[in-house]
Amino acid sequence: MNWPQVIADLWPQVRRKHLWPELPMPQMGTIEAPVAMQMRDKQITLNTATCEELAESMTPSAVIEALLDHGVSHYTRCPWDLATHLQLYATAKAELGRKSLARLATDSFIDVVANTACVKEVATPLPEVYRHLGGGLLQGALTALYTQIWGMELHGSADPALVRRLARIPYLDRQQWTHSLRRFVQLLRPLLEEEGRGRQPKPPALGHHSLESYSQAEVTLGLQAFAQQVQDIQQFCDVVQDFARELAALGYGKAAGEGVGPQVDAEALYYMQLAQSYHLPVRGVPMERSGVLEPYSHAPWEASQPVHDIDIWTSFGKLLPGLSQIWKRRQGLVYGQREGTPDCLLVLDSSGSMPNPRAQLSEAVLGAACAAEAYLRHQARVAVYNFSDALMGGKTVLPFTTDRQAIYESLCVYHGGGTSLRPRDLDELRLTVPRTTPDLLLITDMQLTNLEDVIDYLTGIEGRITVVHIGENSATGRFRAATRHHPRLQIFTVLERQDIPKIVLGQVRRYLSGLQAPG
Amino acid sequence: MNPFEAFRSYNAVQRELPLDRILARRDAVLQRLLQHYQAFIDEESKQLIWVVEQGALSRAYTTAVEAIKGVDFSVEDLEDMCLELDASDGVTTPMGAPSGLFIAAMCNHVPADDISLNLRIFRRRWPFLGYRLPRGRRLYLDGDAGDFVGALLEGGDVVVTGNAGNYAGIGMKTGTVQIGYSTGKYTGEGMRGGTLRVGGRIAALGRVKQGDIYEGDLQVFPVTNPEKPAAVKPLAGTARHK
Repeated sequence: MNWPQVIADLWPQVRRKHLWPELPMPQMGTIEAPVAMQMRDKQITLNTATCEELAESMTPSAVIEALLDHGVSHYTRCPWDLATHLQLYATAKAELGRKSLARLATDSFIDVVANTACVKEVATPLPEVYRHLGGGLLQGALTALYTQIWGMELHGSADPALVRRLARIPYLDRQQWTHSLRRFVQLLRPLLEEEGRGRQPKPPALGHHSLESYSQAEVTLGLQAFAQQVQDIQQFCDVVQDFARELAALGYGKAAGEGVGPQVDAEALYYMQLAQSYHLPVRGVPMERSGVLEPYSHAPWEASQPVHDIDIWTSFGKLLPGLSQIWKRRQGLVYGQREGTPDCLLVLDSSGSMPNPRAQLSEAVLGAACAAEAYLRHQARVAVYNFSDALMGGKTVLPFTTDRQAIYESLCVYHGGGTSLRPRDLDELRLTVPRTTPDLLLITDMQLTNLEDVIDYLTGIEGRITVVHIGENSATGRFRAATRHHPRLQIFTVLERQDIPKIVLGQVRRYLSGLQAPG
Repeated sequence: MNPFEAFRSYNAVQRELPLDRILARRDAVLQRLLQHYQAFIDEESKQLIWVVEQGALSRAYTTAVEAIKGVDFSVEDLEDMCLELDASDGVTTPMGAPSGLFIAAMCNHVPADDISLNLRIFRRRWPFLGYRLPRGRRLYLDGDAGDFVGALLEGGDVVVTGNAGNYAGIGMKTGTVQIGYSTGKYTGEGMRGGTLRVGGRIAALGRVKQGDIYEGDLQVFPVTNPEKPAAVKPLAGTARHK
């Protein structure tokens, strides 16, 4: 069978039916798993072996059309985007606990939604595929469900009471998908557990849904949206770790051979995605008058005007008033001078009194991450000094860099324990900046054992300093009194931790837009 | 000139699936049940203090039965109603005992003899499940039940796969209550007949009048061998063997 030709003939019709989705021409291929199709970076690949098998019971064109309808429905209806996909997976994982079962449940639910939407909205031979598709208990139950909700006899078999209950789920109501999936999982739990008993469950007959089906840009946007939607950092990390292999392949993991443990630093990724949602406007480069008159437009030459401005090319070689064209000159605009953005040294307190960023959302880390993003977007470099009892070695030092992953990993380190800052470390870091004095951002609860040393150091250095301290205590009063007259030192008292990112961003915005911070 | 005048709105032709009819019917029934439930709760909440006593129970149950009369609902509707009552989305007002009595009234009037509820998926522990369950009906509760399970049982069979709270089988007349694991205090309080089987431990028996109570394989009421002390001590001053 000339399958590529069948695809080429049918693809325009399928695209038309589904209102021209932006998908490349599907292709035939050999897939290792016993599935009918797969989608990688929006490229649909149909399994030749499955098509041959189905073609024994259906016409080849019906096989291809049905499988393409199924594939396109996933793109145009469910899961639609990665954030939705991850949200559905998180719901299933919360109910089932086991990764493989949660993936199977999510895939099955997504299939039911996409197939039902397809059968409802377009003319498709998709039900025929399910009539001839084999499968275990789970697939049998889903086929019986299709029989019930599509009104076509497809020969599935399952407990009628189960099918009646499954048929009452509003699959096409997008607003209720997480609620519907929860009910779907509750009802199918025994069958899902039977599928996964003691082994890896078989994938759905028409294929798995993995992150590989999304483009790089969709993954980036999806992770950002998912970080906003999750209840807490644990849920994000739980889900991301389950997709670690795919995310690492997409460039979100550690480099090959680097470190031990999980492939993806999920906590660092969480703060990275959250920080992306705090945007700082990039200031346009100002234009200035150059002071030089440049030819701008033509005007008819008059006898009283000088002849050296006549444009001989548009005057047809004639020197006649009214016919000859003279250049009108205007002062040119050039890019004006702008100060470069300095680098930034982030000094972050991760002592025992601060929340552990890997266990719960740490606004201190998020604030530092927002500042890092703002400086990185302006082509500046960022250094991290993450400390607890630095005098006793409790510190993580990252020299100035633009390596976003390294910055986030350094910010997410939690030391616990006491709080002391070693000024010499900061000096060493600052001296590595050859071009300008770096900005310094310190986030702490100010309960430093060597507070006097820190005050002396900060009041004696150059550059702009922002101190964000959390809560009021005697140390903060001493610090404020000692630095009251410092012209470049800004202190912000934070009573609500969730205000930290906004304060940091507000201050960074002032710096980057060149405003003079009040002393 | 309108540059988009050549464009036309496109309305895709959609098939009506059986799913649409199923969901429309489900929504309509659920809507009616919720309305009746809310009216029932409004009525019951007029009581300044809702006390569990025979008169109040009987009145509330009768009101609940009146409320669901005329609504054609199935076992699946009953399950969906429980899901709605369990959801804390503000649509329904949860109210302990009256909510449990409303569910019990639905169980007793749904056109099915075998009713199964998966209590594991609910966060709430409604009391009075199996209240007045009539002969010929079997209520299978998968998970842990709340207080007063199988109260005033009228011949039905109640099976709880997990634990039950206090006052299990209170005032039951005939029928069977089977608890998979343990029960709380006042088990069998005021029981006048029937059989109560507890697979695990009974925390304490109530004032049992008649009937049979088993803890595991051991019959703890009536005590068959007076020489041997009962494994389960009744609450002080409450046991009264007839």
